[in-house]
Amino acid sequence: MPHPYWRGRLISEKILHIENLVKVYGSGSTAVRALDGVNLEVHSGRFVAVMGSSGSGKSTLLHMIGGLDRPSGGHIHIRGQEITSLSDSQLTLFRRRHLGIIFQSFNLLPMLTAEQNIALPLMLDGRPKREVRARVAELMDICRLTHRADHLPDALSGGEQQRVAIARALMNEPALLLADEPTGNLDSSTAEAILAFLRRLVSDMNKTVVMVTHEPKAAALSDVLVVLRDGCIIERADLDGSGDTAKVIAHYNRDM
Amino acid sequence: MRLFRMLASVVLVATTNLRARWGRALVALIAVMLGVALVAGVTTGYSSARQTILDWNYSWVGQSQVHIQPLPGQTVVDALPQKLADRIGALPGVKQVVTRQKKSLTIPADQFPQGQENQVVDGYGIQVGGEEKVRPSGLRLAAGRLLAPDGGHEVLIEKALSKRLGKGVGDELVIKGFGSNEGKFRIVGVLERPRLGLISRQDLDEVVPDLVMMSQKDLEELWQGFFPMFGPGPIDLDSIDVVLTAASTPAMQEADRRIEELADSGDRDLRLAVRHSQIELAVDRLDQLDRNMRLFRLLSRLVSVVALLTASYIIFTTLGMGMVQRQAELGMLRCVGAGRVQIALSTVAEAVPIAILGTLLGIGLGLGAAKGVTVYYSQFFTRMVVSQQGLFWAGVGGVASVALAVSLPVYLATRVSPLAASRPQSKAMPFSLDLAVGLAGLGLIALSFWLRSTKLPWVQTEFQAALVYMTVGVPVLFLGYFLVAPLVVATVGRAVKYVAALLVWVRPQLVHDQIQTARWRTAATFCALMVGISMLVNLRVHSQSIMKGWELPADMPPGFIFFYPELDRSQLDEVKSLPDVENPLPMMAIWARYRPPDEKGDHSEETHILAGPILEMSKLVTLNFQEIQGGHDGKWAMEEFAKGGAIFATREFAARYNVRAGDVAQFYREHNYRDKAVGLRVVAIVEAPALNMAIDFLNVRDRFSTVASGSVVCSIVDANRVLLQTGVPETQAGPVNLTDPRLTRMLLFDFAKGRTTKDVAEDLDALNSRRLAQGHEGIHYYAGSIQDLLQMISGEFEAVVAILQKIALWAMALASLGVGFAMAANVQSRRRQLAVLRAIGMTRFQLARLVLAEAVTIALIGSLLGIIHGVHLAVNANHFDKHLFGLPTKLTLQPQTMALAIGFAVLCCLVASVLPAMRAGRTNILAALRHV
Ligand SMILES: Nc1ncnc2c1ncn2[C@@H]1O[C@H](COP(=O)(O)OP(=O)(O)OP(=O)(O)O)[C@@H](O)[C@H]1O
Ligand SMILES: [Mg+2]
Repeated sequence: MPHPYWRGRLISEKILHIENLVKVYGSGSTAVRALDGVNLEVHSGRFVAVMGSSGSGKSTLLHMIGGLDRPSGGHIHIRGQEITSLSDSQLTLFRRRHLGIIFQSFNLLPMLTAEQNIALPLMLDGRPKREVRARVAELMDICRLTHRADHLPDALSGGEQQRVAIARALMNEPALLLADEPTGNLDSSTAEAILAFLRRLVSDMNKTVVMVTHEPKAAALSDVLVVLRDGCIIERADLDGSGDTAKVIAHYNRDM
Repeated sequence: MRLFRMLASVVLVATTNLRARWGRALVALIAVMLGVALVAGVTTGYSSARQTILDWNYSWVGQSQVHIQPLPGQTVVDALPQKLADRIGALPGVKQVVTRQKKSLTIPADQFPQGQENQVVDGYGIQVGGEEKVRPSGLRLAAGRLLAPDGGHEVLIEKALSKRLGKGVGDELVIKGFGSNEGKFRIVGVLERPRLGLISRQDLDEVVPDLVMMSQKDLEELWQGFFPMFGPGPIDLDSIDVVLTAASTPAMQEADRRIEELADSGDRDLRLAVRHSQIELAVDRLDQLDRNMRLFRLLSRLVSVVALLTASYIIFTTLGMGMVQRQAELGMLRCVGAGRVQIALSTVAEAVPIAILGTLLGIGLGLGAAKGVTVYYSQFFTRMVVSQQGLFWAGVGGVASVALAVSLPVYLATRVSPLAASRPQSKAMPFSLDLAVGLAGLGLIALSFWLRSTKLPWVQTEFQAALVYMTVGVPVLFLGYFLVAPLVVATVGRAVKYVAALLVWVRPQLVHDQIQTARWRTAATFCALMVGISMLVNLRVHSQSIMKGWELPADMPPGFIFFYPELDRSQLDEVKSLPDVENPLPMMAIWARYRPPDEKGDHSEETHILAGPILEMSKLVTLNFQEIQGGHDGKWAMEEFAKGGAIFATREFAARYNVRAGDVAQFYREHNYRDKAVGLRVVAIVEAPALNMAIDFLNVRDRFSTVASGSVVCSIVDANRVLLQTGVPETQAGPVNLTDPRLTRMLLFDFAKGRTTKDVAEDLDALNSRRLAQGHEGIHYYAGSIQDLLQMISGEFEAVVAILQKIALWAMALASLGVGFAMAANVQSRRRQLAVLRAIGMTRFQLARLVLAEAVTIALIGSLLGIIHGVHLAVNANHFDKHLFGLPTKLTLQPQTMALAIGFAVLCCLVASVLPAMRAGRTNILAALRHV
């Protein structure tokens, strides 16, 4: 039976539009051009994988999109909203309403239970309790965490912790889900489950995901592969999300 | 509603945080609690001590609004006529007049158990029924009851006397009066005489005779026949107390005026009586008392400020350090959309319960402790008085110290970037930051110097300046030292760590890592230590400085006799001829007030006056001429001095009142004797380092009732002029021959060969027996040697220092709490690192030693800075001693003090780090590595 969200897939909207994005760390002789004129368009319901060697600027790109840091030049539009010109408090509000972010280290608040961790974004937004509770229940169901609701992060396995982190990122029904090496800290079977879960989010619920990864296997599940080198996009390939690793490796190696 | 829910989420984060990190919260709570408790306790102690002194004063002068007593030595009998009391009773606005008589009485030797001699006591004839009203605290019963209105031959005796007599309530007591008068009394009550202030006044007991109280009729009988010309009848009064219908200040001043007007009523007796009496108003007494309590006020202010600062500091390290450790968490909160305000609020929400609970518990604890102290030391405190102002400040201080402590962490928390979630900033602090902060700290230290030396425009008196300094300058100074701390770690830490590593035998490099990369945390840890150490060092250096400042000239006569009341000429001659006394040197030590020419300003402090023959005077104190009138030489000044009407003023006195050589200085004795000042010419300004102190200690009786500002030296004749108020305008009254030094308070002398204080005392007792047999009053004396005196002084300082050291121990307790916590937090936050060390093969024992090495390093640097800070505080204290109390001091640094400080710091750190060290040793490698 199709998920209630499936219809959204029919309308493909331009969610993310990056124009000539530049990020320079430091200045003078020690300046690092982490991003050097990146252009990218992402449509809704797409699963984008960002690859590149270490230091190529992947995390930097993700931080810019997530509004965690400010670019040195260029523009980022998310759902038509230009975010580089937003003030700090506007950015915070924007993150709270429209973005979900997942990190390699799960970064749960250790003193809050799984349920409370998940509820946090909506609580911070001051949503009514009933709404929050309903949404948490729904997400815990989706992420198969119901039996772990009252556990503290310490008592959860790595995979469970990451699922809590994903549930938390999904709480606000984000337009865009950003993930920086979400499976980096997990063993391969758990990683596969998480990746499959992300894939389902995109396929079944029409979420849009931008994921940084080193794993060709992970990238193979995506719809779009973006390869970065020295802060520039050197490859942008459409995949079919079939999990064909060889194709990814081929694309990746072509430019290396 | 929505806003409320947004707040609720913030509170959720805060409360779960508090619950999860309850140890940290508990430490902060205890810190606030102890700090507030100290403030509440100290202020309550202060007001209780004040009340005690008030009670003590009241036991002498009562709760009457106007107290009248004769000026000593002014008339033959030192008494007021009954007529005066009657006239005052008839004045408008007067509700009641209560009179009291006082006469010397003798309790014969056979009344004592055995081997004792006749004892002279002060006999008071009281107005039964009235006395209880005006002087209730003078009649505190230890046993029995008060005098019955119609019961004759009843007597109340003092507890100490009762002990010596071995007699109590219900026993009979024979008391002798004038000549062969004698009466048999029944002891109906034993009186408790309140002790004065914090220090036991055993020596005062020896000077002030025991007292017995009886009805006025009985006392009159015992003194029957003393004035044969008057026949039987009422004897004269020792004091008159007046209770007014209205107790306001204007009413008292009005009564004062009316009483003085009685002098103009045409009645000669009344005129003499009024002119020769001193009229004291209750308001003036309170005023005086508050001035006398200044030292206590300053101390309690200092202790309060330091306690709160320390508490604030511990909260800063506990909560603030937590904030730093939680960077990733805070960053994550920012990522999921928590605004800066929300972050700030959640941090504040953590502090609020700590502030409120800690303050409330602290006030309870402080009051409880104060109650305990007043009960346990009931001989020093008549009762506990809660200072409302003190409680207010304790409350405000508790909350403010928490606010101060969390303000920086809160600010830093809001500055945390969401990026911290993915990349916790663990980059080392650059040395330039240490340098900048350290320079700011030095700036603050300089500012505190400036605050001490600059007279702020709105500050009027030295005392206010001192209070301002305690409240503003001291925190600035502490803050300065706190800020300098990281710089000190960065610069001297390198050297110190080798010492520490050597001590516990670990590789210096490992210690280095901790000390250098975590300079700030290290600095934070030892700052707590520094506070404790500096208090300790400050106290010791300060007390030693005072002791050192009081150096006696080498040829000061070794023996002294102090008389109270003062001796007249004939009595003095008898004492001078005692067989064991050689080279007798009569001296006078009194205090008076200086009246500025314009009558304005704060001229309520007393000036000590030491009087004696000028040549001998230089034996007592070293006098160096600074400025002489008209540019004459020292010989001229000495001649002028001997001629009379001239004084030498000390430099402090001259500076305090802006007086120069050649000026005429006006002195008066009592609060409201505006027209009875004596003008004396300042012929020279001298430097006499130990003079104030010497007079202060020789002037036993007035010790606790005066606060001196500078001192002057003059001849005995001139001192008597001031004492007797026969100055300008010259009073017509009294048979006072000013060329004849009538009154002497002190005799300095050399012991006859091989003789001691005991022999001189025996001489004096024999003299008293002779005098009593002849119907004269006995001489009250206190004989001793300078050696005794020095011992007494050091004893007193030790008593004060002991009390202060208890306070320092509180500070140390607070500080070690902070150290312990910081050490534990250090280990906790480095569990991962320690686990890695374990994983690569370090044994538990080695790990524990590593933690200990850090403790020792922290202790060494902490005590180094603590010692510097402590000496700095002591220099400040010495400054105020000199400017406020005229005490000479000499900065004295003893190696023992330094050794003690270092030893204590090391001990404190070792004890504080034992638990963390054990914990580090037990670190579970897997758990630590798993936990991110
Ligand atoms: N805060 C910073 N200051 C200076 N340079 C930085 C900073 N953050 C990143 N860089 C530099 O920018 C470049 C891109 O860094 P980024 O973290 O985006 O790489 P990455 O592609 O995520 O690498 P990895 O796969 O190792 O995570 C690197 O050269 C890095 O050294
Ligand atoms: Mg990266």
